[in-house]
Amino acid sequence: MIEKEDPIISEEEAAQYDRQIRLWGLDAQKRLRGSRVLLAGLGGLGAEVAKNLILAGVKGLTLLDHEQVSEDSCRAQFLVPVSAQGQNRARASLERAQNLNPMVEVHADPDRVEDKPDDFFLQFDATARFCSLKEALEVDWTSEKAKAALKRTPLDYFLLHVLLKFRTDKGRDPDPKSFTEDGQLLRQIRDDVLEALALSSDLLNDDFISYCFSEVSPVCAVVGGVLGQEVVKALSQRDAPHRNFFFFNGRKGSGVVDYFGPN
Amino acid sequence: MADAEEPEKKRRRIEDLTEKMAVESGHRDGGWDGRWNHVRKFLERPGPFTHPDFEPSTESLQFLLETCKILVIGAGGLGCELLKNLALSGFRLIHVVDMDTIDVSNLNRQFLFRPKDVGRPKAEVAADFINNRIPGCKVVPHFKKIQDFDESFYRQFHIIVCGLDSIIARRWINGMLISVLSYEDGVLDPSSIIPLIDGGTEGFKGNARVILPGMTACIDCTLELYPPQINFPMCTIASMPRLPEHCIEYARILQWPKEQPFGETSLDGDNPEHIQWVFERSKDRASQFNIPGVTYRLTQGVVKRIIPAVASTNAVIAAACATEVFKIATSAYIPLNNYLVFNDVDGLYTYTFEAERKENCTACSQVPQDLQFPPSAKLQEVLEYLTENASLQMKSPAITTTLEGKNKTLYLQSVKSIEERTRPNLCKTLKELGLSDGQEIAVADVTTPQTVLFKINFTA
Repeated sequence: MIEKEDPIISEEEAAQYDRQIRLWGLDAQKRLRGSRVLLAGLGGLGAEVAKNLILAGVKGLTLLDHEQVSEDSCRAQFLVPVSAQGQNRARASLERAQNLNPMVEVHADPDRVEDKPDDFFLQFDATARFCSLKEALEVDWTSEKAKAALKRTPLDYFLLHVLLKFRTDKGRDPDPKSFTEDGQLLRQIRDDVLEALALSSDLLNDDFISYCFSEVSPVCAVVGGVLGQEVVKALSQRDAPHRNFFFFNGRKGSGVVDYFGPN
Repeated sequence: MADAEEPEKKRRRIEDLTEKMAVESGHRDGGWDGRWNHVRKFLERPGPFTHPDFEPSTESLQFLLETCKILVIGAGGLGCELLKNLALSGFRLIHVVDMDTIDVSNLNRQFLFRPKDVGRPKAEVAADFINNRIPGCKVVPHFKKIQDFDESFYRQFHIIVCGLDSIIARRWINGMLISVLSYEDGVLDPSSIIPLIDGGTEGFKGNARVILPGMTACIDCTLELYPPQINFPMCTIASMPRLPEHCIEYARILQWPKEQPFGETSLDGDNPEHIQWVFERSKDRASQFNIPGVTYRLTQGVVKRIIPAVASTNAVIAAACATEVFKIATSAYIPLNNYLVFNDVDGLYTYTFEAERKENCTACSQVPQDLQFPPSAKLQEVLEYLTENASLQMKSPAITTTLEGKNKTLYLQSVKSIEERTRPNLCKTLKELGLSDGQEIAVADVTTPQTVLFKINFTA
């Protein structure tokens, strides 16, 4: 983890971080101060997480994103200037991200995460990304235990399965420009996914498609807040992280923590 | 790493770019093609979660962009996040009120502010930042207290959302919105209701609630839900300290007034010399009782009653509040009903419940408040009741009544000369003061913009 020499908190930092030091202690702040974090993906959610980590005072944050700024990007992603369409999303977010806290070293990297060599990741103490979702989501729904748990399972879990498959098949997320074909494909995938899990396709009715096409600022902020705090917990080695999925439902204003994984 | 460009030059550059885009895409409102598509998806097509009465149309978006007026109270931890969320969601007519200036300790979460802004009014810096960043958004700042405005100010808003740091202020705005309600033949006129979305955070805990004044539970309906503010008993402080906080309170409450180390000045939490003095006295006391843990930081925290705060909790609660503003402004989705709690101290806990109205709520029930006292009770007892009763929790009530057709102040604390003049009344009985059975008294207090009427019924 973070084994380097004991980072010193300057007076300036102690003054700026005062209110959070009172929350998690000086030792935790020092560990944050010595951590380098990799953030892959600078959509609306990524931007919120970036804000929360930069304000928290990590040593370095690398923004990794191979995507370009599109029309959609400007809406719920507040780090990217309107004039930056066509530029790399990480690079376009850099200036404003850095301005949030000059004491943090913020870098932009336009590469694909898949193209990075293994030792690239060794320089970081924590990474925030959606990886190994596939494994985490694999549950045997035919077992009695799983069937019993089905009632309590947030529908968002199945939605996630569908979106992941879409992403794998198409190499991109659903695009409003191809709403009709993507909508049809999503429905088809929904049927396939639920069939493969030996579940009824009624579980996720047709209207779920309307949720697959955009992100809204406040919802990004809620999940970004929770995710940011998870990273802080991991880096500061205080408190156990959530086990292991957090779903936020903006419609009901409620959040649920649930565990998905092998056994 | 800081802004390489001067603010004015930057503003011009952004304006030019926006102007160019607007002209090219034929928009006159500072927009560009597809700018609000993410919002349109919620408002211009049907969906499974919309309000039963919802009809998709382009009018909702136009309402947000051109007409809907929102008041944000507080430009601090919650306020900065609220302004960002609202501006990005299409709200453009926003006023923000905050009486404070920026402190360096705000910078860990109030991200619209930079080190160079320290000392400037929060409302003004926040408004500048949003207006420069979001083309077309017009945030109007007010470097004022909420009490500086009257109902004519508040009536202009469609929705009010608060990120306050005091219960007194919450009760005040709550009372203000109740006072603008209009009733015809005892029936509430719905068009006089201004929804109040209230958010609050402390460390890793927070809550968000939706209040429809006159219809749903108000702040005072659930006053007892607020945990009591920590005040250590005097006997613990004076003779049996166990915690470092007790030692600090000993120095603050007992030693400072006695020793007056800097002359007759009162203790100033922002004065490092004062804190240093309290710190050293606290250390002495702590070593007498073998209590570890007295630090300069803790001393400052206790003296200033500092509440720990972090960006992530504020992000979550402000976002929940902004979502409710959006839902109510567009009538497109069913609002939160009506109280959400959030806690990520240990794991993550969130719960939503429907807070109920209190039948005899002093603020919103319109039920006359009855007090029972014997005629031999002293005015002091009435005062204590008003401050100590859990449902009332007044801070420094001023009591007036009508005697022989004339208005008489029985007791008032906030003006020194009147306090001195009326202080003897505290020791007089209600009978001696000339009050009769069923007499009405009018009570004014910081917790409410309107006076509250009480009826005193004599008991045997």
